[in-house]
Amino acid sequence: MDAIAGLAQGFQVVLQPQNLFFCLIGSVIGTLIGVLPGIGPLAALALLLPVTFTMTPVAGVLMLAAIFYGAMYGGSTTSILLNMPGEAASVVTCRDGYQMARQGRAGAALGISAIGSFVAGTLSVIALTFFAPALGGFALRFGPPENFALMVLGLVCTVFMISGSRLKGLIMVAAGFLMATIGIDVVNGKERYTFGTIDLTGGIDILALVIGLYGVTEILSNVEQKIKSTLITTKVTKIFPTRDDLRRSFAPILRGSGLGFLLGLVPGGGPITASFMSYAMEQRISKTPEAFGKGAIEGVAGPESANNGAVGGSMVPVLSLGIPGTPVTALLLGALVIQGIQPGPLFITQHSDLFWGVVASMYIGNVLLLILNLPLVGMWVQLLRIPYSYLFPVVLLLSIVGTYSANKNVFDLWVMLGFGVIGWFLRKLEYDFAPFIIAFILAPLMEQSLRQSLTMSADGMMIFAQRPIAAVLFGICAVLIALIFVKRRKNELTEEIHNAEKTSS
Amino acid sequence: MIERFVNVFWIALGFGAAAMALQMKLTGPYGPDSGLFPFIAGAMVGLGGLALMFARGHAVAKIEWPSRTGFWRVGGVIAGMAVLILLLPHVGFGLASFVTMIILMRFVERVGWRQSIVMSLASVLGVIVVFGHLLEMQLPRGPWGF
Repeated sequence: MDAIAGLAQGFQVVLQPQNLFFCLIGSVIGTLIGVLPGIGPLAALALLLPVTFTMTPVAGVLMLAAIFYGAMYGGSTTSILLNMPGEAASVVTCRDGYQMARQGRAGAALGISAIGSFVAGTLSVIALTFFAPALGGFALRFGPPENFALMVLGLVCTVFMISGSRLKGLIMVAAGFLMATIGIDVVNGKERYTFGTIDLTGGIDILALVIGLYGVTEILSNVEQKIKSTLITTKVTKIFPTRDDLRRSFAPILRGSGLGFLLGLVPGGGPITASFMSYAMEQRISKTPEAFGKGAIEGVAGPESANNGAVGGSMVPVLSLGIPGTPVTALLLGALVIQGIQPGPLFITQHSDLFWGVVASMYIGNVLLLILNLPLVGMWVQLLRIPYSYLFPVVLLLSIVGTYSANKNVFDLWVMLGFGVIGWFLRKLEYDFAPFIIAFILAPLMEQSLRQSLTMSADGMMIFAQRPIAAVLFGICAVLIALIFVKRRKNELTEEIHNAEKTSS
Repeated sequence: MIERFVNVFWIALGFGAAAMALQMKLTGPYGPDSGLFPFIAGAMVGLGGLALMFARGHAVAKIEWPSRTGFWRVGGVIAGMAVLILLLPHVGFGLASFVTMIILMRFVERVGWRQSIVMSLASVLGVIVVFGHLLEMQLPRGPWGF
């Protein structure tokens, strides 16, 4: 099936009233999550994952995807009006967005942010439309050794891309693997690390883990000190940028879109890195770099486009190869697995309605989000008046509901709380949770591929050297691992990305 | 000091898990057995902990611990959640979460009594209506049916 025919099928799927409704709901929730500080897209996705169990796979996955890209749109509102990012990918928007708001140009900043997000979101979905099926087609020739090598490469890339200690990242990957092996081995029924406890025989629940690490940890980090924020304005006017604003933003939006998409493709890249790289690039090529940080519209247009472009890019490896590059896409992969769908190279051909439905929903979702974020921006601004002291107990209740409703098991709540406390502590020591979550979700597939590879091999591990594609992938892994141990020269940009990742999930 | 303690934890966890994985057998008559993957994972954790112990430049220069009040607030939230989880199976979601929310808002966030009660009631009712009724998700029920 070619991309155009596939897309037509996707629009048929997504234009069904039920699917359209869930796309709208996802966009609204995503914007809400982006606007409200203290809860990130990953925690929101985890909280709402059990809700999708009763939906059709298409409706569930397109709603979750809409929450993901919706959060990228909404994140800028808080950055511009409160100088406090709604989610980590909007940290850099604070610099010039807030300055613009202080100069009475909040409307223009919010407007260009929404327009940039729309353009980048749409361009990246166009790229996704054509790139993902091509990549998936190539990956059809992969067997278990190649799949295993690809997953290893994905994880190594994730560790390589993290801005903090890569050694700590490597430990988190291994800890994710270890955690995933708890429970009954599905191949031969042996119990692993259950210590005779019935509660552990089913393994650690993914929702308890994610809600603990990204929901409870976030709450604990936020309640350390009373959050006081001042809205720069409660009335936003002139949201349509002037002709001069559009002229100045045109090139940064296009550059941000391209950069974001490319960085989204790389495991571990994602929206946070994309937004910072875009800001650095715009400042470097600007004729007036001194204006950055003082309200330069290019400093809003570029990063906001880049983080939305990265969403489309990050969907490519997860939908065409089954390899998630960010914790959010890892959770989307988990959602598919829970629905009984195995993502991977065969996903596009075996579940074309789902794949093309999600792609088509992203076109529609971007239009919905433009409407939600331009004319209705005033409504979101009013939400910023809700103090965090009212918000966090509600988030906490939602964490309890989200975790409990998956298995109706109180033990999962203890797991959630335990991971929340451990996460809060490890965050102080600057451990990154992204490699842990991705490894935890990929571990069952990796173990299966490893076992299949070794079973079909006459020479044990040598099979990975005998198969050309697997050998090349492992070669790249070896180079990256060697580079992980080479001491990195820290620069301002990596420090900033690291701080953004550290302070917000 | 704390980083060293954590590194020792990784070493103990990793090599302990690897030792247990050996008992699960790494290979069987048909190829790899249940212990192989956990062994690799455990060994990676243990070796990583060892590397962290001896490699330089990975420790956080200055850990940003909260102030004394901050610690109390964090402790309050953890205790509140623990109480909520303990109460849930016995008194149900409605009452357990209502009580916990009042405690958190009044004693952690220092919101006034009246606001705490109104906000807690509204939030709990909202969650029960949206998740329990509209989305038909099962919430733990107490003897009162909510």
